[in-house]
Amino acid sequence: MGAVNFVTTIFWMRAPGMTFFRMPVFVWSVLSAQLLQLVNLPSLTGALILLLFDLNFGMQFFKPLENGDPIIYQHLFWFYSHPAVYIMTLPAFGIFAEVLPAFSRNPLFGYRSLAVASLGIAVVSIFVWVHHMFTSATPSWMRILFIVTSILVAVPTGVKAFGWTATIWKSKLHLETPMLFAMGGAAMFLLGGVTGVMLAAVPFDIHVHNTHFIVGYFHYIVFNTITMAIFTAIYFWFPKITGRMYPEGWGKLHFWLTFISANLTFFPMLPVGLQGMVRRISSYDRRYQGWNVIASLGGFLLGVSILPFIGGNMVGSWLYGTRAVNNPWHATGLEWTTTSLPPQDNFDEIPVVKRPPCDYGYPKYSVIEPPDYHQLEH
Amino acid sequence: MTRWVIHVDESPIPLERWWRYLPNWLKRFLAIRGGRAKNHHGKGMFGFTVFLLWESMVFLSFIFTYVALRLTHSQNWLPPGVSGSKLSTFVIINTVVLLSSSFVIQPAENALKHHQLNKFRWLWLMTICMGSYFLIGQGIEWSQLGFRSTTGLVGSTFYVLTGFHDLHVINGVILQIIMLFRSLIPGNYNKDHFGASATTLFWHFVDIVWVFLFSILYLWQA
Repeated sequence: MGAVNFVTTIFWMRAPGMTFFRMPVFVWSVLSAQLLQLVNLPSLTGALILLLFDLNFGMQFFKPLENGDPIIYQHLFWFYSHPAVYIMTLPAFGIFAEVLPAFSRNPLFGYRSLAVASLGIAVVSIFVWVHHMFTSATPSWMRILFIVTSILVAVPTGVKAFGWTATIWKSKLHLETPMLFAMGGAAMFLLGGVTGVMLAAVPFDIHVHNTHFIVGYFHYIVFNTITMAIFTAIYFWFPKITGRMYPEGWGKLHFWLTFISANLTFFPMLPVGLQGMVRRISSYDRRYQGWNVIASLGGFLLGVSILPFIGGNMVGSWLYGTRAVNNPWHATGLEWTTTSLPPQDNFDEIPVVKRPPCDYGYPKYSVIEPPDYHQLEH
Repeated sequence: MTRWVIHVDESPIPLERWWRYLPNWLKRFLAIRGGRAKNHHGKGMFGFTVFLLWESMVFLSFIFTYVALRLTHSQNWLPPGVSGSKLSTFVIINTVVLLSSSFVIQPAENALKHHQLNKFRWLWLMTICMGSYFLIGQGIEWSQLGFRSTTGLVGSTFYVLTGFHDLHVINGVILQIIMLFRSLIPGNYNKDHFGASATTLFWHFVDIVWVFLFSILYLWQA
């Protein structure tokens, strides 16, 4: 229902003058995520309904002893659950693409490519689900096909990552808390994404299947990328949503604690998984102890790192913080033209959009004079 | 001295007017260059179509399960002593009634668009009757079948597929009854008849799903 709502709103209720390629790139990534939701979630619905009938009404879809096939359940389940991770990740990418231009005062590099790449990630990710089933006796031809598509989905993802890098290239960065989280998240996505592409290869995947390597990999994506993106978004839009400004010192403390502890917690899982430590166990062999101690320390530090966030920022500034101005980051974008704590219908009068998104410092056409070489010689 | 002009947000590839190559109805449906709904109808039909896309994917997952199970377990598809679903004349008549009801509901909605309320009400009532006939026919067919829902793969898949389809037919008929009662309120459909349009689209969806189900359940005999 939410996906229907989002997609209909994006298609039919944009502000006047906002064509598709003037939408903020965050909206593009949310559109891609919701389209994925629409196409793929029903597969999980079907799987669960059939499972319900199997378990409670005596039908035989997935019972092998009665000619059912549990692999079909796996197919139906993973057909949704792989795009599900993209449904989580795509808005995170969109958040990075909103925040990085604002704090480097550069237009977003390749806005149109990033917008289309969001759709591209969504489309390709519909065709990669079997890589969760490499060890489930899938036939070789199927495994080879899905190696190809799984690595292919890294291409539009790389387009987005290069776009972020090119946006902040050679610019003066304003390292406020949202920017720190955005850069930290985007940088750690590099490690998570690379280990993901490693996992797309069947021989490697069979070796590390069910080990902590996989746990480390997806936590690098889910925590170090997605959760950092959520923190970015909270700090970036906190003044707009609550009308109050958070204390910058607490924010920076929160960032550094989170960054260090997240890496301490999840990086050790990668080597330990390669050495063979299985996942979902309660006790492990003594030779894995070193890395695991580091991971545990990181875990406790991660717990501590949330305290400045909750205490200082969320509770403290929401109740007692200084009032925020309309546009504390001097960002472009429609939401910054209205007051912090927007009025009832978000805008007092319907705005008209005339400029492309993220055009920091540039008018629509930029005129640059080439240097006068003759004059320099004198 | 040449002045260099750099287009900052335009790409050298002319993607700017890509929408010109779409047909008109698609441009209206996707709100290209518009983006603002003039009334509730277009917005609502878009949202409802998106919802029907979701719903058809649910049916697709059931159909995929049926096809995959049938292809991989064709030897023991039918338990001993059980014959599968029969393509009897009863089933064929049922199907014809359901499919032609789509051709009745569409003129009904057109009549409503031209504010011909009486024609709308009679055609709509006829659709309700045809839909109910289909449901009763399905019930009779279920009672005459030789297998139950727990009788192996054939039973499970058949009852899940036709059962969910019949649930949607029941919903469609209920929606039509509600719209019929709404048309009896004077002046209700003067401005906007989104409910009737959505119900019509839902009924077409039910019919198309039945075409697929009919082919794979009855026409595809082992």
